[in-house]
Amino acid sequence: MENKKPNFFQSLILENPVFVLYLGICSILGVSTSLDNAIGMSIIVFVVLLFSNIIVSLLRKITPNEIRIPVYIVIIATLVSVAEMFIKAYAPSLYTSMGAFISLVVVNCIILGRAEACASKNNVWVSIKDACVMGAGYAVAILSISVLRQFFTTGGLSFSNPLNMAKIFEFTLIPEEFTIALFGKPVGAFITFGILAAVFAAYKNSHDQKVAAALKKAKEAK
Amino acid sequence: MKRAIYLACFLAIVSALAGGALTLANDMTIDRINENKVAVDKANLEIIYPGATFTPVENFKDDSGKIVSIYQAGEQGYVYKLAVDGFGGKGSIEFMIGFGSDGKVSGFTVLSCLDTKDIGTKVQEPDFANKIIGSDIGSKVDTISGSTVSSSAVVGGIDIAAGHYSANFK
Repeated sequence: MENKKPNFFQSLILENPVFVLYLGICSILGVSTSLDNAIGMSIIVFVVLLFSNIIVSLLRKITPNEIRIPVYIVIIATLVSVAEMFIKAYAPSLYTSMGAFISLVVVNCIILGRAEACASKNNVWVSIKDACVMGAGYAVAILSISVLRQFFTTGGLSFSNPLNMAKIFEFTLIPEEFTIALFGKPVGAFITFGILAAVFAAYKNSHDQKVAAALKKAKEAK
Repeated sequence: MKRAIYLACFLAIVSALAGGALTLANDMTIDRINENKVAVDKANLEIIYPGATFTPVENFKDDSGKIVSIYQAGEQGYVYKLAVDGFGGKGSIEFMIGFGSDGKVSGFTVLSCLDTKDIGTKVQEPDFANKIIGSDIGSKVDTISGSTVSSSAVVGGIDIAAGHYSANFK
């Protein structure tokens, strides 16, 4: 049983691009101050990752090997610029709150990393599945960090519709005098990231040990 | 050599396709983006030119750093939004001034003033605005006695806007 490939939800933890592969951390530390930003960023990264994987996969047979990286960069930069224009047009408040971090998606290592490691070697269907797992993994990471940071900084959580800024939900559990402003600052981002990376690593280690034990047992039985 | 030309051509084609995609996306979103930009200042722009169609002026050159935005109000003229440094610090006074195509100042309104109450805030009073509105563009505007720092900052901003207008749109 343990030898089979991890399912989608296990992959989110065992192959998490942020907490296991340590990719795309810059944007996570930068915009994880609120749930609004985190959801906005997850969607942008997912859309760009999905389309870049599809396009790179479609062009994989005709892209000359020597210039594959510049080609990937042009594709990713175009997708990010297009996404930026649409956000500026339809979600201006999200655009204002995320600022330069939208443009910085271009240099998000997850997107270039997946174009190089997966999409350039596999067919479109495999690339789409990879984009879904990696995009969801990124979303899990940024959402978990932002939930903790916003909760400790403001004492509660809130989420607004990015298109019209209407509040979807809002609650406060901790009185204002017990909130920790440190979590809203860059140092808070590093602390939260470190704690969550440790939790993910602990789960991965225990999973790996179980798999190794099962393999050993199967060998002995033979 | 042949290989190098092939690689250059391939990259050029990919870049051209990317340019095409960006142009298409720009055409699809530019009107909406302009609307959003105008929406922020719409209510204040309407005070100066009621009912006009406003278009933001993009990529204008401003060495002073005081001009926040410029809007063209159809054929009627231009509106400048400026943030000047009054007594309350950098960018403490925000105001709008309209320059009509007839060569006169068509409107003036202070949007926000963080300066000292009853002293710096005199720039918000109608007396000051009435002195400016209707005057010739580029003519000297008197400062307010008792509110020298704030009114000098505003007058300096008006001069910058008038200079920019004369150099670019007159």
